[in-house]
Amino acid sequence: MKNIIRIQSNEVAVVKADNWIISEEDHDALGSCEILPMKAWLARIKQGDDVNPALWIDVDDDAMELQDVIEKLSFICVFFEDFKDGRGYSTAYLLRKRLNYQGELRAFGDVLRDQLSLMRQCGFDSFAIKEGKDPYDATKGIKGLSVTYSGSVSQPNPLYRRVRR
Amino acid sequence: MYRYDEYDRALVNERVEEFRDQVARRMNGELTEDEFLPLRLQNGLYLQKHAYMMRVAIPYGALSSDQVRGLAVIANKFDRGYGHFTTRQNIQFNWIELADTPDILAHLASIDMHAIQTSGNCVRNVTTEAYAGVAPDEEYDPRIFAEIIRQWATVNPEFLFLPRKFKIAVSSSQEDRAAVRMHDIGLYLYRDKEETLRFQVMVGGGLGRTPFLNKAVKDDLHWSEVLSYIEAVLRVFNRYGRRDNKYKARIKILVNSLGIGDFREEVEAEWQLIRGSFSTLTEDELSRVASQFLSPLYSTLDDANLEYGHHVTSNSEFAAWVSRSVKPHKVKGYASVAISTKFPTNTPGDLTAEQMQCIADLADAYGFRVIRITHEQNLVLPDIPKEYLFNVWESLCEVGLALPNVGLVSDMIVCPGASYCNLATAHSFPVAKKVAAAYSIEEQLEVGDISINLSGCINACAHHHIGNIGILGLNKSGEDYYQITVGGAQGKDSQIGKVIGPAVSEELLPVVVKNITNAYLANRNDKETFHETFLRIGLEPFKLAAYESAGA
Repeated sequence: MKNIIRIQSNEVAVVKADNWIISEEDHDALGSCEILPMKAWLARIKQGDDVNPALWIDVDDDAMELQDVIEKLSFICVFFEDFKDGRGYSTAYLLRKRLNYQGELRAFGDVLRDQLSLMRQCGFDSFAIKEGKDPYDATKGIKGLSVTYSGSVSQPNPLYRRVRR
Repeated sequence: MYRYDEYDRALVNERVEEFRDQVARRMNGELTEDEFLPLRLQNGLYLQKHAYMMRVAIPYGALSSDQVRGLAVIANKFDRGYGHFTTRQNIQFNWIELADTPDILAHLASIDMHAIQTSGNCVRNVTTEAYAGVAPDEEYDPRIFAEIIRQWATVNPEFLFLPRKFKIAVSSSQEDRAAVRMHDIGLYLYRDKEETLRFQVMVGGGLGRTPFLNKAVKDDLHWSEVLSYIEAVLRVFNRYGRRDNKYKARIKILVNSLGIGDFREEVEAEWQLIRGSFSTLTEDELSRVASQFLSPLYSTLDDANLEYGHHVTSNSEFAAWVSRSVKPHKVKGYASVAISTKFPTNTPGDLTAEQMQCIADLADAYGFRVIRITHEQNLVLPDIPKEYLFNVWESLCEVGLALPNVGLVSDMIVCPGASYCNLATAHSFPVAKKVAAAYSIEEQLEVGDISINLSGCINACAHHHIGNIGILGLNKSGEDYYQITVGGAQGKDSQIGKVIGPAVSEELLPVVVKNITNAYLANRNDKETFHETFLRIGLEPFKLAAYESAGA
């Protein structure tokens, strides 16, 4: 994958490209860096195959199907077909809060600078910025506003539980 | 009146600078229009027929006199000297330059206002009724929870790209004056037998192409759990709401396709997993917000005021205005004043900067510096001592705002229509004006209280479905036509109106509307309202009368 921004212990790093490859569908002789679609990955697991601890979630996939296998995963990518489709935010919430997923969570597809702080608050810690956009420029979108009223994945307490107003 | 603290202020100021940067990037081509679109919408900026339009939030319809003056400054400096108050407690400026928008937002921030989430597929301005805090039939001030929900929904990261827009309204009085039933979430706040505050939660209302009133999903939600419950509704909507068709994307479609029972189960299951945790409201937070909405320090006044009584008996014009505009107040000796922005002297919802100044001055002189906006596009001075009502009237006369027509035929609710709006299929203002002009004030008084709502397109910004008489502008091969519904009603017994027959031309519309009100006059018993008569006799008599001598 290309145009990567990763956040690790509050440090932001830009990686021009890593070895991971998104596979559109399952096939024979999977490489060690291939990321299968969630449904294909689940089918492999069901067969008892030994697969990469990585998958990608499509816009209409239900992340809750990973409930029983979440501990086998250390890298999950969530596809944004269109940045205006907000399902990926709830997907991230469910993975982090309901399934307690601790691994890397990457947004890819139509991923743009102006949504990064929102994605980060929902639990993403890794972004593959849309091709053609400058990932260094996109890092400016990570910080966001200093005040948030509601709670979120990254800050579970709403403002009224965080500060004395 | 809610005043920003350092956190509120920091948020709106940072948001202005964020948008300033986004506008600059749009103007130098770094952002495409497609990428910029939701950013500008979520900052209140629409692109209309002739120019950009900025929609500014007036949370729960409450404004201070300084804020009204600030809006007047924007109207003069950045627009053409006026603004348009909408049916959802916003104000719109119609003639805006893109390059000016960051400065307008900065000006708004300086008066504790913003345009955040006044558009876009997110939680919009949380509304309530204009008489909150002063209505005699109120159980609890609904603005307190409207503000708490507003804060929770503002830049809440998970819910900014919903399938479609999402509107929340709160009411806590005997009579629902906030049109709660047509909201995506409508909240009725009440006290139970133990005096505990609880919500009845209604979900799935909305007008537009497929009008629905919302349905009860929870009858006894404890006040402290209102945010987690809304979160559960929004998460279900965000995950399962349709995204393939704009007209089927509102939560009303999801509620009705699942059925209210299954929908309730989905929400309940989600809610059980998140309730009782971080988003439970605290007593501290409730009292902090509530302390911002304390009543002003009212004087001890007599219920009757001699001078006021004298003016009423000796000045028939003043008396006529009083009978329509002066509303009851919970405190002895005080009244609320409704100010009509309507025909014939005004355009519905429009106020000039000069008129805004006048209203701000009146609020300063007599009314604790507060002003309210109604969803009928009128303004309210909520706290006027009766002894000053005559002074208020005299000043309003000078700026053409003393119309004695509140609640009457000519107090129509009208969207801007094809004169401004890209979405509109027909004209609204000029057509509504002709309908209003078909009635003398005597005829209007004979008809009495009635709601006539005219929308210039199916999106129903003027809420035509819940008008006693609803008018919808359509376009048939280049000509404006108007479809009429009868029997709509707002309030706790809301109803969606029924279509009476073929749409009529602009020319015939006033005749047909008058035929309908004449049918009401001919059929009403004693003091029946239009809606009561409709409920008793049904649609047929109105249908039959409507097209008489209209040749349609």
